[in-house]
Amino acid sequence: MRRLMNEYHVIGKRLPRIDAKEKVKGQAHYTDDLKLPGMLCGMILRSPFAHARILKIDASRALKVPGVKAVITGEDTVKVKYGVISRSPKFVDEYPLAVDRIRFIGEEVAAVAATDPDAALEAIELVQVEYEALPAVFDPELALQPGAPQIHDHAPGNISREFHLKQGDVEKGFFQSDFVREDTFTTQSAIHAYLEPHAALAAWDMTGRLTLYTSTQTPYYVQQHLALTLGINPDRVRVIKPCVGGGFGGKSDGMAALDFCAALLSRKTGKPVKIVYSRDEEFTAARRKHPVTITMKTGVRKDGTLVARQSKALLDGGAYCSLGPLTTILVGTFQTLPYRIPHFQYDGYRIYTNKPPCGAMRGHGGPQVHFAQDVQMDMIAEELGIDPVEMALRNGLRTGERSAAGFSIISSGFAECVRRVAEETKFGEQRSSQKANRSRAYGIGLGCGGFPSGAGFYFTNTTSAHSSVIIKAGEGGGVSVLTGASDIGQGSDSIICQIVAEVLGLPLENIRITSADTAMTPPDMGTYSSRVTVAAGNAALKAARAAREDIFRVVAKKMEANPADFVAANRKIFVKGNPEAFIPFEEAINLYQTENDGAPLVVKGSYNSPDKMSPTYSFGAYVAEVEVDLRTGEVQVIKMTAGHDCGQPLNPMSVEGQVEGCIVMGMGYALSENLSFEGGQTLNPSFLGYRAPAANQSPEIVIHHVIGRDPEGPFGAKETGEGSLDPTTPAIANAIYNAVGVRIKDLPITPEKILRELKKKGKS
Amino acid sequence: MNNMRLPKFSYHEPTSLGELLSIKQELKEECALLAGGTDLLPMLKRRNRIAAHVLNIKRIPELNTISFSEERGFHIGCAVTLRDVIDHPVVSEKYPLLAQAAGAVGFNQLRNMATLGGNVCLDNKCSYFNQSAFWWKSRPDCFKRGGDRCYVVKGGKECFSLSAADTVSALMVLDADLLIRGPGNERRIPVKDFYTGNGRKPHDLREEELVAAILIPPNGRGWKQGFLKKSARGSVDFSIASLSVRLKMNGPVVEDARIALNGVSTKPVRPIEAENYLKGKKIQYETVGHATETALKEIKPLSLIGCSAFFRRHVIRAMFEDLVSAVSRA
Amino acid sequence: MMKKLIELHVNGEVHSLAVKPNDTLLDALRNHLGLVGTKEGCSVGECGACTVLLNRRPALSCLTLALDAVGMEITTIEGVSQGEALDPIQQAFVDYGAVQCGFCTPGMILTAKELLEVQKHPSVDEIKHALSGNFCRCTGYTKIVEAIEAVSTERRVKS
Repeated sequence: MRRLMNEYHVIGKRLPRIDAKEKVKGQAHYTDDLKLPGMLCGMILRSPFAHARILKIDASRALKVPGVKAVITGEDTVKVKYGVISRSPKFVDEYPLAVDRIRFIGEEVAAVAATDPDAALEAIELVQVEYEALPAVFDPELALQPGAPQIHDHAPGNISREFHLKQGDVEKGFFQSDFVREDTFTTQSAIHAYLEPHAALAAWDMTGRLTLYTSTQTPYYVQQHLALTLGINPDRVRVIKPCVGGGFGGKSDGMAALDFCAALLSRKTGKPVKIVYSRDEEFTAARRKHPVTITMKTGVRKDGTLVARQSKALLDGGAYCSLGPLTTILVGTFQTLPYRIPHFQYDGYRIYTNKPPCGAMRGHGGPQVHFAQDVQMDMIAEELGIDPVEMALRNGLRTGERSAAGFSIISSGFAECVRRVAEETKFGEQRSSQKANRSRAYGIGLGCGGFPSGAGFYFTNTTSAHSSVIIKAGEGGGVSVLTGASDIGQGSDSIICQIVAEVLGLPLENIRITSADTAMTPPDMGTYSSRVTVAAGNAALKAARAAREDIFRVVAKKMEANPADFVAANRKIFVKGNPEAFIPFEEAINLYQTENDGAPLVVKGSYNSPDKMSPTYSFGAYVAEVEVDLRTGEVQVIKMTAGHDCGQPLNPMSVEGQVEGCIVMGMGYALSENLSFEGGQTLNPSFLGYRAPAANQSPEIVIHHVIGRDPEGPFGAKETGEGSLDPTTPAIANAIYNAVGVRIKDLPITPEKILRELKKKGKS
Repeated sequence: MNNMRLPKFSYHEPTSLGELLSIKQELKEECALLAGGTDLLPMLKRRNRIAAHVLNIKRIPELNTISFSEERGFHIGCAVTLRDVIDHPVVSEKYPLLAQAAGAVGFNQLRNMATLGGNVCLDNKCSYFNQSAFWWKSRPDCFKRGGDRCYVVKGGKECFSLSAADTVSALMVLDADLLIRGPGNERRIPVKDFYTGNGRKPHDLREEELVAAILIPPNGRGWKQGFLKKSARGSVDFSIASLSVRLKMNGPVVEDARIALNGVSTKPVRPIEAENYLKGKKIQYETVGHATETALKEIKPLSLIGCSAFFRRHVIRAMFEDLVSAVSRA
Repeated sequence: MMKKLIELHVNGEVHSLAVKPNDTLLDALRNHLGLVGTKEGCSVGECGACTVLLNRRPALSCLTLALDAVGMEITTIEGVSQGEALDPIQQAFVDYGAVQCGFCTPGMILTAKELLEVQKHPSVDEIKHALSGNFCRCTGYTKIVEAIEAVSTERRVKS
């Protein structure tokens, strides 16, 4: 690691999270841990049909169950549609409770509130719904056919969104290429599988203001959506995010059905109402990752230089838009990272099907794309007789370049990532040596990726800055930070505190943070697109610098010195080079108040991405080492060596935690995770059925921090939370190929698929 | 606070076997026996089982006893936890196979709660059947739910749910018996005879009976033993197959063999022809291979979601190769 | 369904509460006793988030009836630390970055606590195997294993 870290006192340090102590003591509160007096238990009734008209709902028997206080259906709502990409009306296609039609098994039809869960469950069973079944369609290819059932009246051909991108001239590019190949890849239905299910607790006060505690990544959007669907002013809605047990993009749509139902039931009953999803409900009805069929036609020169890419993608969107219209774009644009592609064309189509809606899941199109892209790169490298490492280095985007989709690469450590992992694993040597016996074979593979470190614009129409932070200093020398940014376990609260502590020269313990309470904290887009460190971090940086400036001004006046000469360190304010003549931080705050008629020191800082796509990009290159059982096709990932460029790791321990989590998630995506469907019904809606990796499968992981200094990120930092996922799956897929000569282009790469290919090759 | 609530039931805590049997006889099929609860509670929550009465059998002293004598062998009460079986000094010394098999069930927490009797009496598993009440609203009931079809074997005329318990193959090769008690009777049957192959009613057990104990005869001299389970994630899942092998070796030659598998079909399998083939042979690649192919003909592995018969066959082959050689060398 | 008045021994204290037969121990801990450190991740015994110690052994409280827990010594995450001071395992989780969203953390700590009591110096593989019933989606398990290893090594150094 380069020694940039020595110049800071908290930045770059392996500091424990500020909330770790309360979490290990079991004292951190998540939404389901909260209780309000008179609280009722809410439950949701879901449709067992994939596509049907609702003819009649009769809740009379349900209302007679002792303890039941209210039942709501679509008829009790203002029947206003909402959607997370609310600035585009055609992507606003969903009712919080179905009004006249349901479009997937599990869609929300009614909700009850009762004094206890048993009464609520009994009532749910007694709500009688009369459905008229409609023909349904589950396959995107079939949904596109003329004559297929139309799922939304506004979307002919069931096309939820199409997106086309052109840069240069691909036909010319292919003509200039020495070698062209075309491959089609398919990826599965995968899901976030965060451990904390969705939970919401709603309560109204005497003046008709709603407070909603909810497990969310995007409290600001929840606020907007609730206001819209309840027919009230957003300022009458307060959304508070308690501790969240993971999101990974599954809680980033803004409002979820339970938020609305809890709020409406609470208004109707006059009592707080809590709703918590069961795991079955999560896996049956909550958002999940888009399965994608993607074709890539790629032209290269014989030295491996990429010349042209033409790509078509079909996304299976499920029954509603969610963030899918954005996914449709990203499956195209993410192909332009981490490599330089002079001629690029993408045609992407997101298709409605009668299945649960697909939204964003960690990497948001990146995992699908990078699997396809880097497996194809490996295939091209093999056919050209070139080392994949060399191909990656030749084509990797460098600082100052612009990707084919227009991503402005203001810092790139990609080449260093590749070199480090290749060197550490002796990649070239390992790759060409044959290591197999009768029952086992070993292989090594490379995977690469790049990811935006931020988003370019709100999904709503708003005048608010992308991220804002308010800082208030107290007379005791303590500092309070207010941020709209949502810590969902990735540690943003800690990072923001680290940034403020660094600027003000204070220990971390002196910083208190209040985050994600829409009545108290300034608006923030939320936790998605890996934007928080850069956006909220920069907002915090600005605010902290503004506070420091105010402090230096009053101290300089007192000490008759130039404010520009001052330093804040070790809880002291002093002139650079003269630390003995200091004023303690606490005294400086009181000095400020005295100089300002007792007014408190309160400052703000805001940040807007200067780029409409993303301010900056992270990069990664991973090498996977696997062992394949030739008799059964079973794969064990022995070791992952990761090179990750997130600029300056603000907290290397936190960065590693994200990389390690991403690697295991990427391993699951590569080898075992899959939600299977039959007739629109999820066949394995459980942890046991879904097969995300358990502890005994966790590989050895070695992480190389490739440290740089990004010009845009706070203290030069870039993202880690999502980009760290993308290189994993292709690295494993390529390692499997290296081990057994079997190329699987369809995720997950199960033992059975490997086995069948081995049989075909006569190798088993 | 979510919708996975246990159904309403009356709870009973009999303190003697006699009391248990008489309550059971009175209530007949409305009651469920609660041992570890690791199989029963998920099934109740999902409404895979409906029971108006739950009888906790763990407070009955004689069902909790575990005793060993050189003459009579092992007596393990049905309510003894898998953890206690694994930790028992005699088990690790004389029946390591059983410790391994018990150690392969689920994971840590489950083994601390689940009982040997519960594992022996594990209901057959099926990725269709073992779904929630809501899930089943979307399709007609299968045979095991009292309906008219099987979703595992399309067009099948019977229930093809999987016999999944990991300790069963070990108990079979150990020549274990089950002590079954009823209100007026007691019977003792070999473990393998307990399994019917009928997915709807997988155990030879009358309504008023329960499996009171597992009886394992003394370990004869010269037997080597081993167990292997393969599952999707290496531990937590139900098995692709669990295999137990005992070999009586005379130098490099097999004098006698016991082989059993579970997790492969509607009931556990003892491939007798494979056992007979091995007798008198040396353990080497060819003989193990031949024994495996013979066994596979006897096993008829099932296809399930996430594990086809094709895949299962290959896994079983690899397991035989690995385990039989390992046991013979031990 | 009538409620029954029972006593549960939790973290060294005796609590009186009225429960229904179909209340799980998890329900009793969270909703009756306000001990919300034990979490509900799946309700059917597949994720380990509800892990408590029953008679000092890790067990799943979502699959234990409250009535069945009478007479058992129950330890929840709230009972692991003594006052302000953290148990070494808790401290290691903090120091080694083993806590991200924290939802799996209570269950992990209890499982780890018993592991280190029965096996003084488990290998990395033994640690991973012991944790195989505690699902985590954030950490990839790496730093959790490191934290547990660190406690084990520290104990070896001390003894």
